[in-house]
Amino acid sequence: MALLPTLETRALSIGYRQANGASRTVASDVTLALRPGELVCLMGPNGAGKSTLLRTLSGLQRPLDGRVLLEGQDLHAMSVTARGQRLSVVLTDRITAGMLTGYEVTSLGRHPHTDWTGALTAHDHEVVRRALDATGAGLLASRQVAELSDGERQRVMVARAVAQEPVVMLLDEITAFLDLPHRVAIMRLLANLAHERGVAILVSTHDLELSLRTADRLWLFGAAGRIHAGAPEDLVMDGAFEQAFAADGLAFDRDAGVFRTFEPTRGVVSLVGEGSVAAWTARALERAGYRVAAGGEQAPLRVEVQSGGDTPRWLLTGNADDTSVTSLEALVAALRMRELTHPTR
Amino acid sequence: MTSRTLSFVVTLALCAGCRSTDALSPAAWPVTDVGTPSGNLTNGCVADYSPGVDYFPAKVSVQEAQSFRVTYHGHYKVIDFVPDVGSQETARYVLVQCGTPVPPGAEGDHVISVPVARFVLAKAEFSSLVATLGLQDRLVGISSIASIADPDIIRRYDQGLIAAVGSGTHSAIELALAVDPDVVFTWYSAFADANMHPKLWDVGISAVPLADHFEPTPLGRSEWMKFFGLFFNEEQHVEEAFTGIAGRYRALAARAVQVSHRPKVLLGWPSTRQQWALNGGRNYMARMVEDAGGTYVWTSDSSRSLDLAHIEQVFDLAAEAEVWVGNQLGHDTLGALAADDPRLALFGPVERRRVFGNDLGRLPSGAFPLANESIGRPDAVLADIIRILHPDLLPAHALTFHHELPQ
Amino acid sequence: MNSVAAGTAVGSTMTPAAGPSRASSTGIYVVLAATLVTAFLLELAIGAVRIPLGEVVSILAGGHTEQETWARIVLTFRLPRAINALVSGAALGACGVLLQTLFRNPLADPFVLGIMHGARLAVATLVVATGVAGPAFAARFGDLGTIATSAAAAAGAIGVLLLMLAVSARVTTVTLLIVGLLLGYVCIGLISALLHFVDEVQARAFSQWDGGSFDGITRQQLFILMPLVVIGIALAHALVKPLNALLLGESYAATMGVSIVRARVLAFACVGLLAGPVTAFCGPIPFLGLVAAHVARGLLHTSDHRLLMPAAALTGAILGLAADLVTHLPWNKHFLHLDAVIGMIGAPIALWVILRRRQMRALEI
Repeated sequence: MALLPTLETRALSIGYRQANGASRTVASDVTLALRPGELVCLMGPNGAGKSTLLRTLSGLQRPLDGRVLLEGQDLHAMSVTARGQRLSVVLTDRITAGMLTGYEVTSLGRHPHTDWTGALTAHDHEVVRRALDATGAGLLASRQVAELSDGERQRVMVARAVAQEPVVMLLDEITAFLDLPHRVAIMRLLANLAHERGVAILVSTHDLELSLRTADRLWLFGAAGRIHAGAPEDLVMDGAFEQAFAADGLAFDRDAGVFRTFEPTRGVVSLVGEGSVAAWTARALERAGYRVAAGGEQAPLRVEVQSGGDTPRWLLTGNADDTSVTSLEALVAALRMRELTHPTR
Repeated sequence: MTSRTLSFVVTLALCAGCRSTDALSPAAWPVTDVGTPSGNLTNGCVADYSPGVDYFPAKVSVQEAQSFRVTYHGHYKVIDFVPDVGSQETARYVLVQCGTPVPPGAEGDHVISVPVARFVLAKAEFSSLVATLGLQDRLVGISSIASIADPDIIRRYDQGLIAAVGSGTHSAIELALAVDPDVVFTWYSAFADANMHPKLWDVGISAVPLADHFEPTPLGRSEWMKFFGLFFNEEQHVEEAFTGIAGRYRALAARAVQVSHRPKVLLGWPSTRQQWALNGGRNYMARMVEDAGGTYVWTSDSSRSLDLAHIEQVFDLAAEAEVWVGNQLGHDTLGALAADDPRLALFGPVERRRVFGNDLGRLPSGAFPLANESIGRPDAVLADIIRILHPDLLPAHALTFHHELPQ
Repeated sequence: MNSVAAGTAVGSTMTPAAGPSRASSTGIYVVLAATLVTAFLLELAIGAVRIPLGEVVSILAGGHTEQETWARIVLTFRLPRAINALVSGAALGACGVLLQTLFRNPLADPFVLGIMHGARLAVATLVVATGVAGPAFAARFGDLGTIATSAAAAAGAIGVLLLMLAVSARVTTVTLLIVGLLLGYVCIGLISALLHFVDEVQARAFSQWDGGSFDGITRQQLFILMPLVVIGIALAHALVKPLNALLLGESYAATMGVSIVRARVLAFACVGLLAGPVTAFCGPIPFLGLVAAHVARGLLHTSDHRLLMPAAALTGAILGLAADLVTHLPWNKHFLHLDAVIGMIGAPIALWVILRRRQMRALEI
């Protein structure tokens, strides 16, 4: 059953007006929907317009054309308070509220819900505490923002966005400052928020691996301002990924689900072996610039994994002497040496 | 001609030139034979100088003034300027009769040719003497027209015959240079940095600072008219004038000496919201108040010119003062005074309604006659003050420089 | 909107557990208030004329004194300037905090941003345009003259603020300060030029506050200044909520329910109300707002405006009184100017506050 979208766009054109009156369109005729309980990752090359889209969706920027609807109402026509009660953001802006504590910054998220004095009720304090717990920022509550690292500050800002009790959250590049464990934790948190509290969440990120694994849907910013939306796996299989990043000259390996970082230029190697050792040997060979031969394909070089005993060994055979090594590092070195003395081309 | 001969001839020629520069002054005074003059030469140079002749038959003798002395030496007179204001500065002026040689040994002093033909007067207090001595057409510069009340000078200023040179700053020096004066009379300050005369000396202009305001007595201050007159050879004129003035002044003071009650007097005026500028305890005005049969409430002895006191302190003193003389802020009535600063309404003399401004005849520019004329007419000023403090002593006297502030 | 739950007082701090505890900030307020009262009394007791403290108290209580003049000195000379110093100092302290948050700049204050000079320029224009000096104006038009002066000053202050706002969108925070200083100099130059068209009496009246001074304020002016400052400070306190949000920057604040335009309009009106009349009646007073804001922050260790605003007002008042006190010490032969004293007192305090925080290298807002 399709739920009514929390946030949707109708024929939206985003961009910005320049000083001389001309406008630059980043994307046009965008029709997208963000549903309750959905975690969507927004991806695309730098400069494609992810931030512009987020800022337009959060009401910070006016659309060039079209509309944004928040729970059915025109977002840009709403009062700031009504908007703040339902939509919260986490941006890339640097925070300089130096002498506020983590708790105080988080409690700023209650602003749209408090009266003109800003006084916090017991309920407000409860919400703040829960938000801090949920984001794992409890230890940061009593420390001043100026003393926190960038990643810790990030978490406090997310806590604040959570404390705002929104129905939709927009986050811009929040994984940028976090180390891997924290990145995983944040994405997991966002997924929880979405699935358990029904918040509609849109995160823009460069973390391909994490997005493919955690997002319910992806919005992929492609060339010429086109946005593809769909489940991550669908987008991979229908070639949308290749299209989106083609301009950057990157190749996307559909099977591995990764961008190929090195082009195989040095030759083909046939690999004999099984299990994870064979898989990691294949990666090392690719890194070294060799393509692993497909089943049955002939290749001038051959690597055989000999996994007898405690440590594996590799045997390299080809158009020169055989070499036996005990580490992948040595294997790659041997291959390179061979390349120098016996160029295969 | 050999080179030796050439150099000899050149040297001779140069010396001949040297001789001709013994006589100073670029002025176009007529140079005449005077023989043994019967009077000082007020507008001419000597053609037939002869040593031993007394070119200044009329002389001044300084009686009351304490900061300058004069000695005569035939064709030149020496003024020793010895102001006693703690600055330890002294100066010596050698005034040489135009047409006569500079005396030997005078190189370290300031040598000025007299009579002076063109001068700048940067102290308005002496401007009335310009009229008295008939020096109007020799005055080529003043510090500011805003302090001149003499209509004659104002008219000449408007006609462009007199320049305004300002005072104290570098621009003043340039402006003074531009009018090419023989002498610049400046305002003498006890603070060395505020003085203009050293800078003028540096650029080769004869500057003569006037320090009349540091004299402790009114007559001593007025005697500076003699100082001024020396530069124009007007000794006769100023000696006579001063003798008359001193006589009248002393006569008036004699009448006030016997009074039974000496009212307490406040002088000065509020110069800012916090400060009151009032004559120092050893200023000539303090002495004049005494001479007029009054008692000056301010008894500082730290300065002879103007003291700056906190308005609160003056208020305290003024509580006992019966009369306030000397408001020069342009108020015509006590109402105007109070409107300017309501606190003034509470001052003793203001409450007693005995406030006298000393700016009678004030011009729109802010200049008023007392400031220009008090050196030449201390007796009139004293008469005013006696009339204010003891009306019964001078019932017929109409105030010359002061005006009472009615409600 | 949630109803205020029982047991939580209005104006509670944002945190029940973290940050400065209520106890310690209350303690600081008590100390500040006590210092204020002491400074006020000292200001009344110390001056060019020696009056014993006991007599001063007696005069204030309406009792009799040994000398009639003493009562007058205390009530006519010292009381107005003490009230002026207190009120103006509080106004400038609140302004300092407001401006530092509005412009995200720890060095912002009404003097540095050229706001006071703009106010003075507006008053100078009024004086020249109406052709009469302030006091004579007052004599003719009574209260209208004082009100007109305050209004002109407030308008001038707001005018400069709008200019600074327009510039702030395009430049960094440091550049903004330089622009503010330059604007100030332009105003000073224009004021000098205007004085050429003015006669001697007006020029004298105007230059009487070339430097700032709390002295000589008339009763009439106090009766206009006090209510304006009270309204301004009340407004500053009412703006605490949006100001706190603005600590995170305008983008975040906009997404948290703050109408940026409305907040700016109210804040500017507040600065105009506070800095304008103070400048009109006291002249330009440098540094006070800046120092008061930073001292308040240093004492309370927080950026929370709910705590900061009242503290800055108190600190400003204390600083104003203390500085004025020093200019009136009886042995002052040379009339120390208020500007110089604020610098002498304020700078060491500000430095102590800044350097005390070992862990932070940067001056935080």
